[in-house]
Order: sequence, then C-alpha cells, then structure tokens
Amino acid sequence: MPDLATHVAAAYLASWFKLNLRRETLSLFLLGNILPDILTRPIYAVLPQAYWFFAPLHTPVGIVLACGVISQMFDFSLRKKTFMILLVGAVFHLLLDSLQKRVVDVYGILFPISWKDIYIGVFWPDESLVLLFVLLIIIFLCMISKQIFHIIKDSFDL
Amino acid sequence: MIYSSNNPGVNEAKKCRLESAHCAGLEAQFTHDTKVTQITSDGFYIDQLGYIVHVHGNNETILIGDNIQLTGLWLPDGSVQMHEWHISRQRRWRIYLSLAAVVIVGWYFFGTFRWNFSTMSFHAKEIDA
Repeated sequence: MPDLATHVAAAYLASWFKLNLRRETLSLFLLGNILPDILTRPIYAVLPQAYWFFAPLHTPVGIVLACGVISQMFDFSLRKKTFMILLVGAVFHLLLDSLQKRVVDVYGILFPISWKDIYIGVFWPDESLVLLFVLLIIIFLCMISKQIFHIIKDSFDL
Repeated sequence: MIYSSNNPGVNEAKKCRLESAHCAGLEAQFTHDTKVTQITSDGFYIDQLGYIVHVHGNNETILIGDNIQLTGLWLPDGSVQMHEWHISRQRRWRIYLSLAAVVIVGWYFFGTFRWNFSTMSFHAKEIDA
C-alpha cells in the first residue's frame, strides 16, 4: 500500500477543500487516515505469522468496529463526531489503497463475505514515493499561495 | 487434507511444502514476507517465514534479497511455475517515511487532545486561535 506519509499528505491536501477546518477535526481526520495501517502493520512486523488474524482490522467492517471502540475513549460530547471523522479518514485511506496495483489480493474489501479485492490499480506501492513527492509540492504551493493571498489582502485592506 | 487451500490463516509456502501432492495444479500466491534467497538457472528460491520454495520463471530483473509478490501454479514436486510478479525495492524507505508520518500525526493529535485521568477519556485542549 502507499506509505503512511503519502496517506497523510493526501489527507492533508484533501482537508484544504474544507476551509477553516477546526484543529480537532483535522487531527481526527489524519488519525483516521493512518488507522487501518497502525492497527495491523506493527503486529505484522512483530509477529508475521499472525497477519491474517489481524487483517480484518484493515477491512471496512473491521474499521467501523475499530472506530467505534476508539471513539469510546473520548469525552461523551466528542464521541459521535470522533467516530464519524475517524471513519471518514479511514475510508479515505482505503480509497487510496484501492488505487494501488497488486499481484495478490491482500486487503479483503468484501470481508467477511470474501477475501477478494476490488481495486483500480493505478500505481505500484513503491511508486507512491513519487506520488508523495508530487503531493508535498502541491501542499507547499498551496501554503505559499495562502501566504501570498493574505499579504495581498492585508496590503490592500480587502 | 490438513490445510484448506483457501484458508488464509496458513502461509502459502508452509501449506504446500507439507502437502505438495494436494497442491499440484492449484494457484500459488505469495505476498507477505517473501524474499528471494537464491538465483538459479531456471528461476530462483524464495523464503516465506522460513519455508523455502523453488520458483520457475524469468529471473532477469530479480536480485537476492528482493521482497517479491508473485502468483503462479503449484507443481507436483512442490515448486511453483511463476505467472505474475512484482518486486518491491523501496520498502525500507517507505517504512521510514511511514514512521515519520505516525510521529507527526501523533504529535499533532496529542497537541490537540489531552487525556483526562479523572474521566479516563480524551478531551480537546483549549487552544488559543
């Protein structure tokens, strides 16, 4: 799958479409974007034989359950919002994963019905480094544009 | 048959090394932790979690130590005839970048939320605009 830096960069760029995003919302959205991988990869690194036991946490069904559990760790007033934003972030992650080419079905999007993957297959996992580079340039340009806009706005008292 | 051919809980190499006769003709899929250990005249050897399998196929672009994903067909002698493969060479860099991303997101998260031990839950920090 794309590395987590690519996921985070894509998520951060996507968040620009919603101007004036609150810090809490952005924080949860970014957390949701790395959630499918942080629930499965560390365990795989330590105990690769247990991969398929934890693999369902990287599926839509597993993600919904995980977001539900994690949102319970938040103050009662934040739980519903936390659940929704984490879920949106995780779904964004899975959508980005669907753009990745693969030789073997590994993500089980249709779990528990099937382990078959549904994907579009645009780039190989290692090619996501190129995508990351492009995303970082776009983010940098967006930030520069925002700064220039504010300078012009302040200069002309708009 | 000891292992179901569709049971993802058993790694591919182990399954068919132990029951090569049953696996003959079945599709072979290798993805996780599959490394190239040796190049041969007609293919190469792979190691998946300690189980070694001989793969017949094009080895022109393959190097020892490569992480490889491949599909193929199990042969009666427990080797595999390769059909499709992909080598992942930037894996280490992707791991480092992923760790950096986790640190950044974690830093941002804990800068936004604090853990309240009295309520045993996360609360949003009061942050000045």
